Amino acid sequence: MSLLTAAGALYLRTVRETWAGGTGMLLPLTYIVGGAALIPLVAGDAIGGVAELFRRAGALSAAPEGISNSDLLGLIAPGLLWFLIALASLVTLERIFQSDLEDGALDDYRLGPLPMEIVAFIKVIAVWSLVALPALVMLPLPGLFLGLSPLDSLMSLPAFLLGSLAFFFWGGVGAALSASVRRSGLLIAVIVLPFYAPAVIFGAGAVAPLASGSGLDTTALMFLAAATLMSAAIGPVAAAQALKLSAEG
Amino acid sequence: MLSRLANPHRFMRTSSWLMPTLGIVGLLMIASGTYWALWQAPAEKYQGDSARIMFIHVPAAWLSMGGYIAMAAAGFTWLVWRHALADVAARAIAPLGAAFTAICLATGSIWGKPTWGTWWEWDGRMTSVLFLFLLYVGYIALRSAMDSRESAAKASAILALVGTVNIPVIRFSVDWWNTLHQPASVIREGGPSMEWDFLGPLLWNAVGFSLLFGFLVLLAMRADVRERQAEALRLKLVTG
Repeated sequence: MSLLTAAGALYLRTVRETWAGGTGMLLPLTYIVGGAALIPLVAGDAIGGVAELFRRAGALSAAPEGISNSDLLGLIAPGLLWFLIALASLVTLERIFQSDLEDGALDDYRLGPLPMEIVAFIKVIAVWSLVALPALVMLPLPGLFLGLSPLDSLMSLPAFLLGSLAFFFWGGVGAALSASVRRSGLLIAVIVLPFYAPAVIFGAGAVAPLASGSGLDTTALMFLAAATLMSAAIGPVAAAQALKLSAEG
Repeated sequence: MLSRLANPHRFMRTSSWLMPTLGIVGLLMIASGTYWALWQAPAEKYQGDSARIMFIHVPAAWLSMGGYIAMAAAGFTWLVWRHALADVAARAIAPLGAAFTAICLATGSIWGKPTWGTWWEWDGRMTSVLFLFLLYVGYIALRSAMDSRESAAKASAILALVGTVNIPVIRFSVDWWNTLHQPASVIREGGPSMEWDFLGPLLWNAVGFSLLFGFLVLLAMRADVRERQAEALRLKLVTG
């Protein structure tokens, strides 16, 4: 079996498995939309309060009625979307390696032609393409809920694509480390959240200027790309080591 | 020397005198260093007496990072050579490192209130140290979630090694993000920029706290080894 065939088969298997496990395309998207729908409910009063503070301070006196609460919500919307995508990556990665360990597929991978690093890489990419990619393409919808214009959502797409990849690569390490632990969701979150920080910091920095209508911050975008590349370089190697060790028993 | 100490019996013999020595010398140094820092050292020109918290804050910060590096090195040693004692060391260091990181964050917060006017700010240094604390917590959580000592050792060693990416970020955070925390003033190019009046008690305390840290690590390690020996004895009795 050639390496490419093996890689393709592994990709398809992971996609099918994830799909059959109930994490279809719609579930993560619904999760993000649902989360986005809750935020105005919890933050609406605070946003209104901020608008009131600005009005009182005279900052908005020129056009007191021209700026709505949803405009202010739109200012923090990109950050909220980062938050929701990071959480979506955590909840969908829980079973990515666990099922392989349980049904013995992990041993097959170790005997197969692909190095474990590549296996980990492909599996993470497969879950990402099934979970994050459709959700990101549909980003204008939750964006709209949060007062972000569809155009801004689309313009911020490169940053979200890069950042979500970093989330999934680091998340893969957490999932591989806790593959033998039942109900590992919270554990994965505690383990990998510190590693999300660079992608979140540079990602939020990259999309922040959108609010003032001045496009993406390309410097922050490049740092984000560097953070993503680092996660792609370290993540699969660490995940592969963890899988080898847990397969040894 | 490390491989000689990898023998548990030799370790127990060596640590039986090394541990109390470290503890006594460390406590004496901290006591004298505290007297030096609180009564002998002059008040800082701009911050007055509040700057004296530095003599705890800075050693705790150094130990929070040094502890993490030691923990990752122990994990590496375990992964490569499978010395059981390396894992005993890593396991012992984790809660102590977390505690010193918490002390660093807490004293920094207390120091920040009078001098910066805020308990907390999302500045590069503070944020990265907070993440160091979360790394320690994740490490401890991962260990406790594993059902066997072996798998706990494996998984946690990998996590500790991956987590070392945060150490340079903390070290250089004050240079990269010039936000609020002051830049390095002791370990820097061109030597310390601090006056000897402050540097003296600071280094004295740093050594004292390091010895205390070593004492606590050895204490926890010895308890762990004893626990394992007791378990082995129990198994022997059960199986006959």
